[in-house]
Amino acid sequence: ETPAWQFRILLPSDAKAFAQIGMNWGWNAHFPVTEMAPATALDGERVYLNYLGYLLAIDLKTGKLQWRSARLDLGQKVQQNQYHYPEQYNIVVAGDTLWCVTRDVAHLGQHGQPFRIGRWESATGKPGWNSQNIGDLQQWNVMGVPLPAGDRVYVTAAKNGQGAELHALALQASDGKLLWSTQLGTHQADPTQMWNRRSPQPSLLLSGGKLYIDSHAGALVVLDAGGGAIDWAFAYDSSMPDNNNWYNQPAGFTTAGPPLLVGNTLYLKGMRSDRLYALDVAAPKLLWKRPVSESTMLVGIDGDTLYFSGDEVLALSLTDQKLKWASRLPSGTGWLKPLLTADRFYQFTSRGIFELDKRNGDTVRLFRGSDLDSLGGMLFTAADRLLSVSNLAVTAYSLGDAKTRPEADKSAAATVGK
Amino acid sequence: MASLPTAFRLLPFAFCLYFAFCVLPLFAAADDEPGITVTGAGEARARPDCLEFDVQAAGAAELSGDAIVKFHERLRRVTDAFQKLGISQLRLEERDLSISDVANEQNPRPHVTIARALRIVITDIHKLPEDDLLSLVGKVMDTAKDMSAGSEQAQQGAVAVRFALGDPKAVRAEACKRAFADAREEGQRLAQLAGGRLGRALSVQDVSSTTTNTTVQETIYAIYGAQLPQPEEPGRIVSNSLKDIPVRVSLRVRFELLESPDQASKTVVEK
Repeated sequence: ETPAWQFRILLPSDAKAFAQIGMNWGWNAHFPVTEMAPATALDGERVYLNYLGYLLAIDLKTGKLQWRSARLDLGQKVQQNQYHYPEQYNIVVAGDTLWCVTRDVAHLGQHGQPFRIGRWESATGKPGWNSQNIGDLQQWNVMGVPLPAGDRVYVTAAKNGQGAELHALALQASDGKLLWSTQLGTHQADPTQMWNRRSPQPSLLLSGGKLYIDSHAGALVVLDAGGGAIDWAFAYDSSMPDNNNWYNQPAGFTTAGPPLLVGNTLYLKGMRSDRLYALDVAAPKLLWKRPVSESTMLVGIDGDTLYFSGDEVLALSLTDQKLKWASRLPSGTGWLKPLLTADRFYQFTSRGIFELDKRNGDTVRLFRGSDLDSLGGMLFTAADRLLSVSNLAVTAYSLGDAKTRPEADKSAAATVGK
Repeated sequence: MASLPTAFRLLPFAFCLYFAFCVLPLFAAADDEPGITVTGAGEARARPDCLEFDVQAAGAAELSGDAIVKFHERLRRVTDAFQKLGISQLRLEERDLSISDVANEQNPRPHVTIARALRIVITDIHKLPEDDLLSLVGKVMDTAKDMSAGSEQAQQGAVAVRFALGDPKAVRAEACKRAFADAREEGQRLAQLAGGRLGRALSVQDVSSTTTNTTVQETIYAIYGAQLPQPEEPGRIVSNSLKDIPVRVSLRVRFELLESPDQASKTVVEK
C-alpha cells in the first residue's frame, strides 16, 4: 500500500486553518471550502491542479512539482473572507493548453470579484490570454467547466452585478474573442450570494453540433454550437437553496455530476434535483423520470446499468428503472469522482478506496491507502498509475503490470459532459 | 437564528416541572400503617463481561421499493461484514425494526426509511488480556465505520460502545440482600428508640427507581426540540467504561414493632 509518490498540497498549518474555517465566524458556520478537492486535470505527463486560483503541475511519474503560478499562501486568506466559491474554480487540459476558470488569488473569498477564463501552456505554465484583459469579456463572471472544441472554447457566465442571469459564451480559442453569447435563463436564487452552500456550476456537453448545458438549477438548454441559437430547453424539478445560515444548521451533503449521453438518450440529474431524467434528444422528448436522492450524482453507464454515487453507490437498471443494488460508503466530501472499470467501481472515501463488484455492489477490497487524514475525493487513472486527489494531497499508486491492471470500461460509449 | 432567549426563558418552567414530578413525591405523606417503615440501601459491584456496539442498517428513499432494496442490501452487507471478522465470541442481535415517512432539509419530499437496530455483543471480555480486548474492539469499530453503520449518527461516523453485565441477576440479588440487612439494622435502631423490639417484615417494596423521570425528560427535550434517547431495557446494567459497575438497590421495608420483654412483663403485672 506504499504509494509511488504523494504530493501534499497544503502545509499542515494551512490544513489546520482550513479545518477551522467557520469557527471564527460563529454559529458553527459551514463553508464548502472545508471539504473541497481541487479542480484537477490530467494528460499523459502531468497532473494539473487549480487550487483556489493557484495553478500547479505535478509530474505523473515522479510526483515532483514542475511549475506553479505562485507560492501557496492560503491560511490567512481563507479565514478573512467567506465568498470562496471553491466549486467555481475549474481546469481542463486539451492538447498542450490548460483552460482554467479562476480568480486572482489576491481576491480569494472577496464578494463581488469575478472569475475569469484564461489559457496557459501546460508544459511550462506560461499564461496566454485572460478574459480579465479582453474588453468584451471583462464584464463577465465566468463559471462552469470550460469545454474546448477545435478552435473554440465554450463556457457559461453571468454579467458582473447580474449574477442570476446565466449566459453561454463561445470564445475563439486563439485570442479569446467573443464569438457569441446567449442568455439561457434566470436563477431564482442568485448563486453569487451563496457562501454557505455549493453554488450550481453548469455542466457542458458537446455532441453532434449541439451544446447541452445543464444549469444544475432546474434547466437543460440545448443550443446550436455554431451560432448559439437555442434549439430547445427542458425544465426539471430542482429545490431552492437556502441562502440563510441558521445556528447549528447541519451541513448538507451535495454532489454534482455532468449529464451522460448514450446514443440519442441523455441522462440528467441536476445538483439540487431529486429526479433522474432520461431524454430523447433527437425528438426531443422525455422518455422517463424517476425519484432519486438529491445528494446523489451520475457516475457512468455500463450496458443497461446506470451508476450513481454520493453517500451511497447505486446501480439502476435502465430497462425497468428498478434499483439493482445499493452500497452505503463512508462520506466525507461531496467532491467525488469515482472510477468505473470493466467490472469494478472504485470510490475514494475518508476510510480509504473502496473497490466494489459492479454486479452486486459487494466490497471486494478496501484499500486504506496513504491519505487517511483526508475526506476522500477524486480518482483518476493515467498509464500505470491510480491517482487519488483529496482536499490535502495527490497520491499516486502503481497499478502494476498490464496484466493486473483493471480493464477500462468499454461497454458504454457514453459522452460525458464536463 | 434559533430562539436561544426563548429556551432560557423556559428553563424555570422546566425546573418547576422537575420539582413537581421528582421532588414532591419524596415528601409524600407517610403511610399510617402500624409498625416501623424504613428504607435500606445496598450496593454490590461487578465487572462487565460483555462489550456492546449499537449499529443500524437502514434504507431510505422516496420510493418504498427503493427503500426496501436499500434496507435489505444494507442489512446483508452489515451482517456479512461482522460475520467475516470470524470472532467466535461475537453475537449479532437484530432488534427493533422501525419504519417512517418524513421529509427533512436533505430530502424535501417525504422519504420512507426502514431501519433495523442491531446490537453487536462480544462476550467473555473479562477473560481477555487488555491488549487482545483493544485489538478486538478496533476490528469491530473499524468494520462499523467502514460500513457507515453508526446508530443514528451514521453521517458523523460515530459508533455507540458500552460495557455490560451479561447476567445482572446475581449481582442484583447480592445488592438486595445487603439492602435488606441495612433496612433491618435501621429498623432495630428505631425499635430500640421506641422502647420495643423489631418483629418480622410485613412488607417489602423495591424503591430503587421511584420515578423514571420520563415525563420531565420528555418535557425538557420537547422544549429544545431534541429527540428523547431510547430508554435502556429494565434490569440491564451497563457502563461507559470498563470498571466495576455498582448496582444499587433501595428497599422500603415495614417491620412489626413488638413490645420489649420488659414492657411485656410490666403489662402483665399491671393487669
